[in-house]
Parts: sequence; structure tokens; C-alpha cells
Amino acid sequence: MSGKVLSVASVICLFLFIASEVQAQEILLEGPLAGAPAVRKLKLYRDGRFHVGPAFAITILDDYRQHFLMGLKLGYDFLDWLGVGAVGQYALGWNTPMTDHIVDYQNKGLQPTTSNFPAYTGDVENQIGKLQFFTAIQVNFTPLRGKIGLFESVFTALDAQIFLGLGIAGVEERASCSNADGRSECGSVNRNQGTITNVNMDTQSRVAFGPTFGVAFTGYINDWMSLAMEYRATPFPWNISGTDERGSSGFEDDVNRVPKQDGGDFPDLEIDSEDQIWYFNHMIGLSYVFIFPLTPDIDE
Amino acid sequence: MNRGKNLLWLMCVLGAAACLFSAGVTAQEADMTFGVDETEQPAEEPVESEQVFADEEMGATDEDVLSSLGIEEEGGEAPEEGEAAPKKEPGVEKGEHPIWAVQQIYAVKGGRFELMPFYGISMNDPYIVHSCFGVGLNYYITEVLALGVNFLWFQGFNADTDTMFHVGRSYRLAVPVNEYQLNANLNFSYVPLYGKFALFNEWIVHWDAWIIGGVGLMRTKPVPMIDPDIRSFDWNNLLSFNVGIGGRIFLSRFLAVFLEIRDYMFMEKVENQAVQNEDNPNDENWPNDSANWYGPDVFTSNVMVHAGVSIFIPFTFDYELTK
Repeated sequence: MSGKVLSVASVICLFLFIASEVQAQEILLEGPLAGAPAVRKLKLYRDGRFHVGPAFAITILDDYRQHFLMGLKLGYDFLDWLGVGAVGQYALGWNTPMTDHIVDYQNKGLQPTTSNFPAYTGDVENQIGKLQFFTAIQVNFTPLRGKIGLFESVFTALDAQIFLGLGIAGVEERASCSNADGRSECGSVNRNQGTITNVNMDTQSRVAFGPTFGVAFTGYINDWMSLAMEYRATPFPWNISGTDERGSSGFEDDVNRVPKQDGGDFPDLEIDSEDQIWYFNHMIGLSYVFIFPLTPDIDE
Repeated sequence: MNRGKNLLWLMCVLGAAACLFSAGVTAQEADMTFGVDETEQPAEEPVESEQVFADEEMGATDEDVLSSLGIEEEGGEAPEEGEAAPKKEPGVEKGEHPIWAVQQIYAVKGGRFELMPFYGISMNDPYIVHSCFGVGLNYYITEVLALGVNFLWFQGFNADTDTMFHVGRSYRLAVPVNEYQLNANLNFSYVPLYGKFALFNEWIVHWDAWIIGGVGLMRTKPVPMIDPDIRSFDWNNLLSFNVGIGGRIFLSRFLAVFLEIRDYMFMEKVENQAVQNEDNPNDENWPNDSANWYGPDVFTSNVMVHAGVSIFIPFTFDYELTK
């Protein structure tokens, strides 16, 4: 009881206590196992082996549209802790609750006005950006090898990876158009009558590049099958909302509301590359891979 | 007097014996002595126990160890024709049972309190980021089951997102949003996963993962967005439920860092998106009636990520060896 009371009273001196204690793994620093490796007869699940299998992913933290990706994952590991890999996936998408909320009001009569056109076309589902496909070429680094016990009865090998590479995404965005300087590429606006006609609903596809990185945990079902779960981020800029977000720092003509074209953070009556905003494009993935050759080597 | 002195001496001897046999037994403290020469020279016979255990766990051997023990116990039956001779454990003679060294649990949790200060942030609200500072306190009834409470403080840390600004500017659409104040919960935790990683085959890192669920109180209020000139709101007490998963990595026998994903669910009271009586638009009293300021309750799933440290109290523990 006195020991517990002293322990509670010592919380304030926690860091001093840490400094004075010999930390984890003291048996590896002193005693008969000093200098011994952490594991003997380590099964080298990746060293010199190919892996291939189906890979699925879902985007998370999306504002306007969420996507499900399915495809293939393959790779080769030069060493048990270093390898290269690639992923290729096709994307299917659906609206987020926020987009559905805007669509609800659109159906109730929310239409673009002369003050928010061409940012809003009157058809939000068509103007928002969509992910079409995703590929990645990456280097895989596996610093952590270990095992896991489930319910103290099921044991399997588990490792943790960090990967870094190049992400290539096919995106479909609202087509570039301009209503600046008297043009009507996005649609015809009659400010006197307050009407908007001939709205341009075209979309265009392009390929976006960006770094891709993340972490993965792989559990080995047996010597030649594994199940991996990963978190991936692939930041790149794209106009996911299809709106006019940037290009001007203010109005050069306040009466007629003619914006400056100087690259500011306000709408400039143009849908172009300046409206592409950086998004992290988070994904959670699951893959089931087969490893060849079927039998791994065993370390000394 | 003599009886009292003898009794006192007996108590001292018993007390000293208890201290010697109990206080000295802690996890990973081997009661062995080795000379320097013994540790530097290779063993005359290979160290099978740990090696065999590692082999068995990694599945490197093909035969079942228990069946091999059975063969030896039965007097070493000769293998049938065409069948390979059973592998003999090196150094294990007929009739002998090998001894495996099993590493004790690095950080025993049973019977200890866990103090968990953390920072949390919401993940699935596109309009407002709900950040919080919180603390949790758990008591581990067993090694895998814990009962605890946690407290989250949000007020002052709610922030508008860029998305809310862009939606308002581009679509001219006001979105009902809510501000959070606090959340307090009673929780049950279960730790089904325990594992360890070898870092570059040099260091061993112990970790575990848990699932958690509980019930509690959530205090929120709407932020007047639809009709801010007239409407004002007070904090509402809401019943909330939560489920989550988490994992921690042990830095020492009493200190760990953790990451947790928790979904707090409750029926949110949101601002009424109507600003007039739809049945009678000329009703001038309708906007000023506070009974009309709330819309239908909305089921809200607030997914939070918590990151913090776990401090186990008491800092040390006695590992009870099985007899």
C-alpha cells in the first residue's frame, strides 16, 4: 500500500524518474544475453521474393465525393527490409453527405445567381471532381518485424512497412472556361435581368502527379500468403469542388464587379488551374498477396 | 519477556525471508550468474530452448513438437517404410523433455491504473474541426479487461474549416453547425491483441491493441447560422455512446504512447433551417419563438482520433511465476 501511495505521489517527478531508470530491454544491455540478436532463425518472408495480389482501397476524409478503388498490387523485395512495389487501381465513386445536402437544396430551387456564377453551375453532381484511376510506384521499407497474438491463442508473424513513391491519378474535373473580360465560355450572364443561360457543363480528364507515402501492416497467413492493411496519402492539387476559388485579389471595378486577374485568393470568373487546391487524398487499403517462391529462407 | 523477544526475532526472520523471495522477483530479472569467460565463449552445446521456441513460433520446423515428444516417450518406434525418420531435437536424449524459455510479459497491466492524457481531433466533420484535450483513467481488472472513464474538453478549440467557407461562398448555402463543449464517458476496454516487433533485429518493441466501448454525456449547442440576428442557443446535455479501437507501444514498463480512433454517437440538436412558418409565412411571431429555433434531431457520428501517453501506476510490478 505504501509503495502505491509513493508511486501516485511521484507522478509530478515522472520525467526525473525516467532519467534515473534503466529503460526497456535491460537484459539485452546486461546479463548473459548481451549482444545477442533479438531473434534467431528468423523467417525471411520477403528477401528475394515476388508478391502479387488484389488490392482494394477507400478514400477517407472526402468533402464532396468518396471513392472505392480496386486493382492489383505487385512488388519485389531485394532484402527482407527493402523492396519496390507498384499499385494499379480503378476508382468508383459516390456523393458524400455534404454533396447530397447541396443536391437537396438544388432540387428545392437553389440555382446559380449572377453573384456566384460561374462558381456554381446549378448541377453540383456534374461539376465536382471525380477520381478515375490511381497508380503508384514506390519503395517499401520494412524496419519492424514481429509477431502478434490474438486472444492469446492465435499467433502470426506481422511486420510494419513505410513506403514512399510517386502517385499518378486520373481525375475528371470541370472543363476550363472563362467569363472574365467580357467572355461567356462558362455561360451567358445577363446582369440586368439576373439570368444565366447556356451553362457550360463540360468536363475534362487529366493525369495528376504527386508523392505518395504511408504505412502498412502485413500479417502472414502462411509462408506464401499475406494480408496487408495500409494507410496512404497522395497529395496533389485538383479542383474537387468544380468552383471558382482563386485568381483574383479583388475588384478593379467595384461597380461592375470586374475582378483583377492577379492570382489572388478570390474568385476571378474563370475555371482554370488556379482553382486547383491541394488535397491530401487519404486512403485506407486492404490487399491479399501471394508470395513467390513459396518457401522463404530462414536466417541464422 | 523471553517469549516476546523470541517472537520478535521470528517475525524479523520471516519478514527478511519474505523480502528476499518476493521483492527480488521482477520480470526479466534472471537469477543466474555467469562469469565473463562463459558469456564470451560459445556454449559447448547449442542453446536449443530459445532457438526451438523461435522455430516453433515461426513455423520453421515441419513436424509437430508434441508428436515428436510422444515418439520418444514410447521408446522411439521405428519409422514405417518410406517414411522419413522423425527428426530428433538436438541435445535432447530419449525420454527427456526439452525446456523452452518463454519471455515474460514486458509490461503487466493487471491490477494497475492507467492514466492517459491525450489530444483529440475530429475526422469526419467537413464544416468544423472539433479539437480537444482530454484525460482518461482506466483500471485493469485483469490483464486484458479494463474499466475506466475519460473526459474531453472541446470549448475554445472548435474551428471553422475552409470547406465551410467555400460552400457558403460558392453555393450561397448556410449549413447548420454545432459547437462542442465537453464529453465524459464510462468505458470498458478489452485487449485482444498483443505483439512485439524487432527493430532491425536489434531492439524489441512491445505493443498491444484494444477495443473500447462506453456511454456518457455530451454537451453541445448550435452556432446560429441560419438566423443569427434573432436566435441564440444554450448548451444541451446529450446521451452519447462510443466505440473505438486503439494501440499503444511501450517505451518502458510503465510508459507507452498510444493512438486511438473513437466514434462518439449521439442525437444532435441542430438549428432549424426554416426561418418562417411554412404554413403561414405572414406569422411575424414565428421567428422570435425559441420553440421554433431547433429542427429535428440528427444522428451524429463524431469520429475522433486521440493521441497521447499511457502512464501505468504503480510504476513497477511483481511478476508472479506459475508454480
